Order: sequence, then C-alpha cells, then structure tokens
Amino acid sequence: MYRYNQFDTEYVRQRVAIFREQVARRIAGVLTEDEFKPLRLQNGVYLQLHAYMLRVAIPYGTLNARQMRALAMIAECWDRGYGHFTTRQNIQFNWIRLDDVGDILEALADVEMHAIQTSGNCVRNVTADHFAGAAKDEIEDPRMTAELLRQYSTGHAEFAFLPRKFKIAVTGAAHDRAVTAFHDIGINIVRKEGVVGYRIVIGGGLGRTPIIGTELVEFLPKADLLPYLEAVLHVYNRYGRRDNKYKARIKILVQELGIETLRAEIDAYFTATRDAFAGVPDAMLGAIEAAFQPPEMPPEMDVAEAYDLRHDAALSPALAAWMETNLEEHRDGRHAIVSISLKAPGATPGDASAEQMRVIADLAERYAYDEIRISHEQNVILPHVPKAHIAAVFRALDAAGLASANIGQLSDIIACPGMDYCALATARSIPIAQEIATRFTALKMERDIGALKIKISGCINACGHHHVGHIGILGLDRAGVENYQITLGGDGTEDAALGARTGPGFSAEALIPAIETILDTYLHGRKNRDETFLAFYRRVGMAPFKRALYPPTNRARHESAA
Amino acid sequence: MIDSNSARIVVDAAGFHLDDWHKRARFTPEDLAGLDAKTGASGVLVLDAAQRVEDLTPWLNVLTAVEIGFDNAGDGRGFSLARALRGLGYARDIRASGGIHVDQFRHALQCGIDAVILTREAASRMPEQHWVNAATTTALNYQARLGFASASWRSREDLNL
Ligand code: HEM
Ligand code: SF4
Repeated sequence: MYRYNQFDTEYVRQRVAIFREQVARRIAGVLTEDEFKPLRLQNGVYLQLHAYMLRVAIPYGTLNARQMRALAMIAECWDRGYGHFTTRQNIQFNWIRLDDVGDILEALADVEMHAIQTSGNCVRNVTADHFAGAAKDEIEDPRMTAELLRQYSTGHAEFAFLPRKFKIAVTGAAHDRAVTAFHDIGINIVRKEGVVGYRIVIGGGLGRTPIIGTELVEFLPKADLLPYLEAVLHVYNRYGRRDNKYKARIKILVQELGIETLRAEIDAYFTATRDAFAGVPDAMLGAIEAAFQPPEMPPEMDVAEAYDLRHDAALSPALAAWMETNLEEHRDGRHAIVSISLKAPGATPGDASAEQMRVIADLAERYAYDEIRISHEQNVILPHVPKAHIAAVFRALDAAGLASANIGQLSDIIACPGMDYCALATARSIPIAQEIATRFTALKMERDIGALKIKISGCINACGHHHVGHIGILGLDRAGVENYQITLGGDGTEDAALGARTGPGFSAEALIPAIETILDTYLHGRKNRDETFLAFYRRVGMAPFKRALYPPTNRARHESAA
Repeated sequence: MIDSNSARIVVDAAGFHLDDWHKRARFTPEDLAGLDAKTGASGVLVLDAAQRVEDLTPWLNVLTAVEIGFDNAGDGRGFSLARALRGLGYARDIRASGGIHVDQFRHALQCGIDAVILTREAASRMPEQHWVNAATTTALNYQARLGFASASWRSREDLNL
C-alpha cells in the first residue's frame, strides 16, 4: 500500500492550514461567497440540503484498517455515527459543521487521508478497478498509474479552475470494472507487442448528456502519460465551454470540435511541450511500484494447499449462499476476493455505521493483510482473504449485519442520495432502492433472477449511473409529482451501452409493479438460467418489455397522461 | 488604444507596488498588425482569456509586457494562457488583472504570471501579507517533483535552469 512520504505529509498539512485560514476569512467576511465557493469545493466541502457535507477521497478505493477506523471516529465525533460510500470511491459525511471541517481534515491527515479535489471544477479523485492487485485478468495494477495521477493532479496550478469537473478512471484488466468508457478520461492499461502502455478514451460521461467515450490514443507509451494528459487538460481548459455549465464537460468539446480536430490540437501542444518534461524521476516511480506489490505472506502460505471451500459450503447453507455471490476468484488460488455488501435490503445503499467500519477494519487486519477497497458500486472489498479464513470472516460479518448475499444481484442497487440529501434532486432515490430490495427479496426472486444491476438517480444529473444500469431508474418531477423513467440494457463495462427508455414514466406507486413486469418478462422469456437479464435484453430487444409494460388497454391512458 | 489606469496596485511575490505600467501604451492583439517594434516593446499587450496566443508568435521576442484579463474567479483560462505563452518562449513580464484573488496567487505564480494588478478596493480587502504568504505556498509543488519544468521564468533564472 502506498504510504505518504515526507512531501505528501507536508503538502496535506499545508492544505489543512490554508483551508482553516480561508474559512476564518470567509467567516470574517473578507472572502466573498463567490470567491470562497471554489475553495471550499476543492477541499471537499459542499453546502447540501440540510447541512454541510464533507467528501473524503479514498484514492483508487484503497484503505487500511487504521484509516477505516479514523473514518469511524469522524462519523462518531462530527457526524451522526455513519458515513456514506459513494460511486466514485469517496466517503461522504452528510451532517457536519463548517467550523469543524478544519479539525476533521486534520484527523484525516493523521492517517494519510484528505478531501482535496473531491469536488470543484478540477481533476477529481482518480478511481481504479476495485479488484486491482487481486484480479486474475490484470495486465498491471492500475493503482500505480492512479497514484501517479493523484500526485500529478493534486494542486495543479493550471487546472484548478477548469470549465467543469474532470474525472479519470484507470483499469488494468480486460474486464472493465472501473467504468472507464464513462469518464472524462478513461485509461486502459494494454499490452502491445509485449510492451505495456495506455489506451486513452476521452469524453465519456453520464449526466444530462450520456455519451460513451471515444478513443483518443490507441497506444500511448507509459513515459508520455503525464505530458499527454497535460496537453488534454490544457486544451480543455482553454476551449471547453464556460457559457453554460451543462455544456462545459469535455464530452461536449469532443462533440463540438470533433475528435480529429481535438486530437490535432492536443497533439500540437503535446509535441511543443514534451521536451520540457524531464520525466518522472526513477526513484519516485520505484517508490510507487514498490507500494503496490502483492502482500507479504506468512511462511505457512508457502505450504498451503489450495483450500477447498466446498467443505465450508457443505457445513452452512447461509455461508454457501453468500460465497456464491460475494466471492470472486483471486489470482492466487489460495486466496479469494471477498465483497462485503453495504446493501442490506431496506438499508441506505452505501451507508456504513462506525461500528460496521470497525468490524471491517478488524477483519482486514486479522485476516486480509490490512487491505480494504471501496468499490464504485458502493460496497467494501477485502481483496486478499486466505480461503482457510473465509468462514470466519463470514461469521464476523454476519454478526455485524454485513453478510447480505447479494453482490451483483437485484438488491445490490446503486442509488444516489436523491431527495433525502441532495439539493438538486427532483425525486426520491434511496427509498425507491429500499422498496425494490425489500419487495423482491421478500418474493425470493433474487436468486432466480441472478446477475442484475439496478441503478437509480434522483435527477437528470445521473449520479446513480442509471444510464448504465441493466435496469435504470430516473426520478423526475412532473408538475410537482414524482415520475420515474425506466431504461433497459445499460452497461458500464467494456461492452459499454446506454440504456434505452421503455416509454412513458411511472408514478412512485406504479414503479414497483412495472419493475415486477419487467422481471417477469425476463423470467418467462429467457432461454435458461444462464441467460442473464442483460443477455436476454440484447437478444430480444425492447419490444417484449414494451408490450408487457404498456398493454393496449393501458396505452391510451398513458398517452393521454403524457 | 486603451486608456491607462494609474489607480492600480501591483502585487508580486515580494508584496505591493504602485502600478509602473500606467504610463505605457496599451494595445490588443488586433492592434499588433499596425504597430512598430518600438511601440510594441514599450507598451502593454492586453489579452483576453479567449485569445489564441499561438497567433502571437512573431511578436513574442518584441513584447515586454503582457496583461491577461481574468473574467471572474472561476475562470481559469488565463492560467493556461500564461503557460502557453511561456511554452512559446515569451520570457518577459506577465501580469494578471480582473477577477483574480489572493487564493489564486499561488496558481498564477506557478503558471508563469509574475504579478497581479489590483484595484484599490481589492488591495484593501486583501492585505499585502496574505499575498506574501500565498506566494510562499508555491514551494510545495507535486508537478515540479514529477519532472515538469517551472513555468516561472524568474524562478528558472534564479535556479539557473
Ligand atoms: C492458506 C493459508 C492459511 C491456512 C491454511 C491457515 C490456517 C489456519 C488455521 C488452521 C488456523 C487455526 C484456526 C483455528 O484454530 O480455528 C489459523 C488461524 C489464524 N490465521 Fe490462518 N491460515 C492461513 C493463512 C493466514 C493468513 C495469510 C493470515 C493473515 C493474513 C491468517 C490469519 C490467521 C489468524 C489471525 C488466525 C487466528 C484466528 C482465530 O483464532 O480465529 N492466516 N489459520
Ligand atoms: S443524481 Fe441528482 S439527485 Fe442524485 S445525487 Fe446527483 S444531483 Fe443529487
């Protein structure tokens, strides 16, 4: 795991001191709100519906036990005893006071954490595959690149006031778990003729204008990454639109200029400035590389045969069910990747109490080489658990209410904060997720349905990624009444696709029956259990869903309502 | 030609000064075509944040004073403009004016802007000491550690780069 060097520590401490002083000047009225706003945003502080919110970065989703305990402590001391893990590998505290922020940032700095650039119009926390370093299909650990980018983007003087936010994600595996096609820049680590480099995708995004990213460079040598990104950001900063915040993301620049013109512009700046870049010193690259080596294993590991989990499964049906959904194969056969679901049906997706955070921290320390990950699907991961200890980990999770066996299934829903916390919301999002999860798990349909991603956003800004949900739900406001649009067939992986609308939306009351109709259509129509919801949709298309959702008798009514 | 404005204060890393450009002629890129080199060298080129500085290349050896206008505190184009000018080899003074404030001073200096031009009102609201303090925070710079050249031509000369 990457540990702060003296520079990192000094830098983060300095930022805390500067922000304390900025808050003091704002309170004294020396800074105007217009001047202060970008400053607080660049330190992760939002003004939300009910209170200030602090968004803390978890760079590339990696944490250790000590850091997790610090988050628990912050939740207890300065918030209401819990935190909310987000879709961008951050944690949000929703109920904090502005004058506590300095102390919270100090507590974070104590454990090598920060809230720098978690919001604002700058390069945001760089995200990466949550199975990095454990996945079987990995070319290289993407966190090395993500850490390099963390350093590169932190406090970059030229890019602190971009037209709009700028999100970068990195994946090092063939199977894209980092949603790179939907980022301002998506970085895929690839191998070409034996050499490792990057494929760069630009201008993807969700929000009001969902767009799948376009390939900018097919193969970028590793040494060129930073000066090349510098050129991308430079061109974006100068030519990205600033007249309309909804047209200000780089995806719009890509659409308006066209990829060819944009690439030429970027290449020109890159070529002109490349020589002024001396290259990252070997010592720094070496330190980053060393930080992401596989964990040091105790000697007993050397003699460990691959432990057979079927013995454990035979002992407990609950454990067997959990292993079926929540374990993933590790590249080292003696380990498994454990996903801890933060989606207990009826709970708020992504929320964890301080107590739960401590349980996870203890387990990580005891059994999992002190490594924890946060996934963009708002779950927690123990990336390296010896198979011999899976049963013990399960029992401890179960005791803490953390053993929901639903990873990748119906009730593993991504939902944005929506009307419950967000000032921009047009509808509720969390309660809808709770209702869906409770209803269909009660009907015991979840196992039968199998792999399914439901994603819910409370307004068109799409923080809940509904465009890439196999079933996407978007909550809108139609003349003061909540109305939910449904999309089908979205996919955030390497087969990126945007969901298509079923047709007119549904009232809050009609939504759950509509979802049930969709699920029934799938269950009755699928070839067999191996045909997933997404595969079924790809085979049959929208028509059978439309027929079932809007039968002729109802259609007239819907149309007159629309 | 734009009217000069003598009521302004200039702040650089060392602190406040009276505006010493106020007697200079001011002109915009459109004026350059009709300008002789002597006037170019003695006046101030005033740039708008949307300017394509690449078009100014023939003038960059002649000019000695460039002022970049910032529209508002959220508009960072001026930082990139300064970087681009430095990248193109312009090695004399760059000053920023308009909606730029003390908490952006570090960014300005690191992008190769030498000083910020303030109105009297801004100078009284943001005292000198704040600017001097902000200037010291340029020392911790990830980008320099990672191998990027400093954009500040003064610090490059100081460091004999
Ligand atoms: C595949 C390799 C491993 C095997 C076969 C193995 C096996 C065992 C066994 C048989 C015990 C005694 C369990 C008991 O008394 O209930 C044990 C205890 C323990 N092992 Fe492992 N172990 C392995 C790897 C690891 C690793 C890599 C870690 C830490 C990262 C670890 C952490 C522990 C701990 C903390 C205990 C005490 C657990 C307790 O009392 O609940 N083990 N291990
Ligand atoms: S999608 Fe809309 S409601 Fe949901 S968090 Fe984002 S802005 Fe708020």
